[in-house]
Amino acid sequence: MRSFMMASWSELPRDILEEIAQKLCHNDLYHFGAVCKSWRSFYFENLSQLPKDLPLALCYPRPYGAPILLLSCKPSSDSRKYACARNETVDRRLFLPEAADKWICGSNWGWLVMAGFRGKAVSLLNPITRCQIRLPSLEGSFCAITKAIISLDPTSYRNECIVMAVIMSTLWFCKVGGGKWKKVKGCIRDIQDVVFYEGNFYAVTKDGSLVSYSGKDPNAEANVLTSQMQRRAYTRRYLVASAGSLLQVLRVFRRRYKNLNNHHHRSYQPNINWMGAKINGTFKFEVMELVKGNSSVLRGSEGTSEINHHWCEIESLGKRSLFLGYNSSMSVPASLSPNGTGNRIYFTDDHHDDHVSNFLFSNSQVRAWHDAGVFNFEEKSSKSYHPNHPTDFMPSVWFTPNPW
Amino acid sequence: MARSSTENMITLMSSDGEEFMVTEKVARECTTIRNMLEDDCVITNIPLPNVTSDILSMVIEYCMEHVAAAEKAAAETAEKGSSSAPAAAKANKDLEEWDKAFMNVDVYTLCDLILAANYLNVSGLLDLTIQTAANLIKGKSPEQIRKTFHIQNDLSLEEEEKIRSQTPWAFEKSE
Repeated sequence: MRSFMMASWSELPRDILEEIAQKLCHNDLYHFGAVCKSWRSFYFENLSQLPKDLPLALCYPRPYGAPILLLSCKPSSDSRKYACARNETVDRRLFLPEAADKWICGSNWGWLVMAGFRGKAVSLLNPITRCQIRLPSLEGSFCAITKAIISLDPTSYRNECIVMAVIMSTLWFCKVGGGKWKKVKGCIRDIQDVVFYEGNFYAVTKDGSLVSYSGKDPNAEANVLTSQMQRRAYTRRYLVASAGSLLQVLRVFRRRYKNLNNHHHRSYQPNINWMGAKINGTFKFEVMELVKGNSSVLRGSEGTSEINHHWCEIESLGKRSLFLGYNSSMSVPASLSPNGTGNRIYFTDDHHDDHVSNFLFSNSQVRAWHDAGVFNFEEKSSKSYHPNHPTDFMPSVWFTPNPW
Repeated sequence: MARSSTENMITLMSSDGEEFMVTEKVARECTTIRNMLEDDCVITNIPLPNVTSDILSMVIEYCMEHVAAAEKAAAETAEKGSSSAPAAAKANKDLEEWDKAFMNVDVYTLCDLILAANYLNVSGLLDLTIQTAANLIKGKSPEQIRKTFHIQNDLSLEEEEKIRSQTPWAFEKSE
């Protein structure tokens, strides 16, 4: 009697597969996409058709899609709530047991660089596929990495990919393929941020000078490209590769003291609760673009400090938005930004030392405090974005989904 | 199958030549047929070359049950002047139970039912069958899904190796 129809599940029409896929959650979709050829090709061709609050639906355009904010959580949490850039609902969770008890100190190419709280283990994690790559262990103290980036997508360039980390304001690197962590030669200090741009690593120091290192061998000669700027206290510098140009962003903190002038305080001892005393909120951002000098001059020079580039302040980010924090510095077109608007700077915490101290010494009894929000570059005003729960210690992190 | 002689009867013909007499009301549950009837109201005989008699009889069973439930609800509303919420809730629950029992089918039948519901455009049945298929996928590893749906693993070794290395957790047994 099973005469004419007798269709096979692997040959179901695409519109039906789509309806089935719509009813599955993130994990089940991954299994669904690994069943057979036709389901797999359907899966990859139709990610963009999935419900918009699933991270997989945000993977387009390739190679990586609209940023997703992993919200702050308790350190031991085995899943993270997330907010998709185009949707403000935050009731969904990504199951990420690999990220429990880890600092996320870097996020680019859709991968997170994670370091253990107390251990020395460092690893890469793709939060979409949950693929994990172990890196060489770090020697030295805990939570030492303030920021880390990877040069290439390790899915496609496993052996060429280099991890560059800022550790105690100096640069260290290791190859994903193997070998130990090495300190970059030359020992330029006071490094605040590092990016991978046009095949090379670029780092910025506290005084705003720009240094470049070879993207294939960071231990080759370093080039100082711009001269020092005025030193500014209560600021932090970032580098962002944005639509072909290199930007330096200055994050200016508001300096505030809390409780120091509290005359009603019964104790006459000085307030030693420094965590309560020191609260720096982000006040504003300034953005500069790198203006390149004549490259022929550079080629002829033998020196390591031929300075022929300079920074020029810009007034608008145009149709792009920036995502900054100690774990990310990326630029995204407006079409992939929240509400489709550009000219915004989304920032997450950059108070690494405070967070480490909070976690190690406060025993999670103290209210966590986060400095995260969105800065409207046009109106020069900021507001909070996805406020954090006071007991959630882990800072929130932006990442771009990459399922490939 | 006719409940009253005044109702229009339609004959549906399955791919294997079996004929099913149904009331126009039941036939109209299939949007595809409803559209045909609206285009040409004298039509009484509809061949359905994509649906076997086994499956067509199940689709008709589903449509009849749902038409009957809707009629019963409407009659109660008319009788009492207003629908009583508990009674309506009970009727809904009964229909859900019926749907659940109706979905006790093997995966081949389920697959054919999905295709028939899609072709005839019976939205309620399509939702029901799609949800049943999704429920069968939930919480299973790819291998368990293949087993459940009798799907041949036609991924190349390289493809499978790639999936395995990218997502080792996808191959952990979820039971």
